[in-house]
Amino acid sequence: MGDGRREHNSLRCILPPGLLDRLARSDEEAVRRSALDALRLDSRFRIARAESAARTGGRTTAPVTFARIGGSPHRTIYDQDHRTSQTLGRVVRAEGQPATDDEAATEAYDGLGATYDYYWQTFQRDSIDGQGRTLHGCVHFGEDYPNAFWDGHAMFFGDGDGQVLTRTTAGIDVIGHELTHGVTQYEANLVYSGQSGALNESISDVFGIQVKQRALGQDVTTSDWLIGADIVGPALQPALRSMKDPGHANPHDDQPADMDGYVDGGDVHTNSGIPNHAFYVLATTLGGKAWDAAGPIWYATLRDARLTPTASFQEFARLSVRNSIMVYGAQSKETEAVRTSWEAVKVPL
Amino acid sequence: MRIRVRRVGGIAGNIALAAELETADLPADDAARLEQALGGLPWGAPAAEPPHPDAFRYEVDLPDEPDRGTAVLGEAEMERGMALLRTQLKREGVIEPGRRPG
Repeated sequence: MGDGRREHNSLRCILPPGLLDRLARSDEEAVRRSALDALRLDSRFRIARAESAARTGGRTTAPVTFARIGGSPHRTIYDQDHRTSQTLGRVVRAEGQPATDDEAATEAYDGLGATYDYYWQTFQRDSIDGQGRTLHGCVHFGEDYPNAFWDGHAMFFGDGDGQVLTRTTAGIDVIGHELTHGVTQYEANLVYSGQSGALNESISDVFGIQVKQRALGQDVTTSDWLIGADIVGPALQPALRSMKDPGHANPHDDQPADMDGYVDGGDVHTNSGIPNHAFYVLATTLGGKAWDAAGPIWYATLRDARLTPTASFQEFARLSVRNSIMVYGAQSKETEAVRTSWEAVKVPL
Repeated sequence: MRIRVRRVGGIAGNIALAAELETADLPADDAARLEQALGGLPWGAPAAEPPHPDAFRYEVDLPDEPDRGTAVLGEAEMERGMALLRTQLKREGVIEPGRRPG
């Protein structure tokens, strides 16, 4: 390569995951060297793809696995030292390092791990981009900052103002919610306004609640179906949102549970109550764990190439039925339950 | 000058926090800085796309000058002169009653 000629290396092709790693341990010097070269190249590809996808989002930049072995997260936790800069702060814990006495950092590390594990164990999805992207969690963002968000690159968590919200890392569903905004960015990249924005929000709640249920060992009957119950301050007790009973999570909650209450021009967190409740109806109709069938149907819909960035509730609903038919069949109880769930929230199919 | 600020969005996006501030009650330097900042706001302009999911959005209006309309700002625009409004929200903010469905 050094003399400018292109070098052909048969190992730098698409190989099954794990094969390159095995070849890299070969007794044959040439094979080993070639495999290590290919692994180095793969690493550069992954970084370039992650950077490109972070800039633009959506499936056009969806990564293609070359030789990634998934199943273990790469987490880095930063202390933002109460600044509001979205530049990554001081590293306080990298993957595999022991916990510190910073509760927020520990919660962020553990919550990101539980969310990674949910996606990997349920869908074999390797991180936000499906390609092992490092999970950057930034704690102590701002001064008493009552919010948490995904900025397209990293997750930021405020300590809360003590009235509206408390320490936002305390909610594992909140961490799952924010990480899922990243997953959505790499999949349908739903535009954050109108019905597509409400779907974007709802999808984060749908997977956030599953992360919480899985971490707590809950099934659909033992879950409280509340979002943010562990981060609300006295003003918003007992939770931010209820997927079971939208509009009644706290005294100020105005989420509609069906299309009769749809708010034209409403906040994306308001109308998200409608698809949230559809998922609740689906999961509780099917029973068991929410990630047995309901979660996979929603995930397949999110990944469906026909789901456009400006999708409406109806478009998402129709695709969820088609995905259920593909996996379970048109006459299955699962597909019937998907239809019933959208009927319950008055989204016509 | 009476100023009303409302914070919406964030992960608790369907909850709005609102506060009012009277510049006459502020130290002269603070009042001047705030009034200067208000002069440069995009009054009546449509809200920009949020920079990312769960971002806060601030809606500023002057109750005694309703013709100006509302200025919708992102988090980054609430720095410097406008930071006083954020402080006021933190100190005096009241959660608005939600429009309950049904």
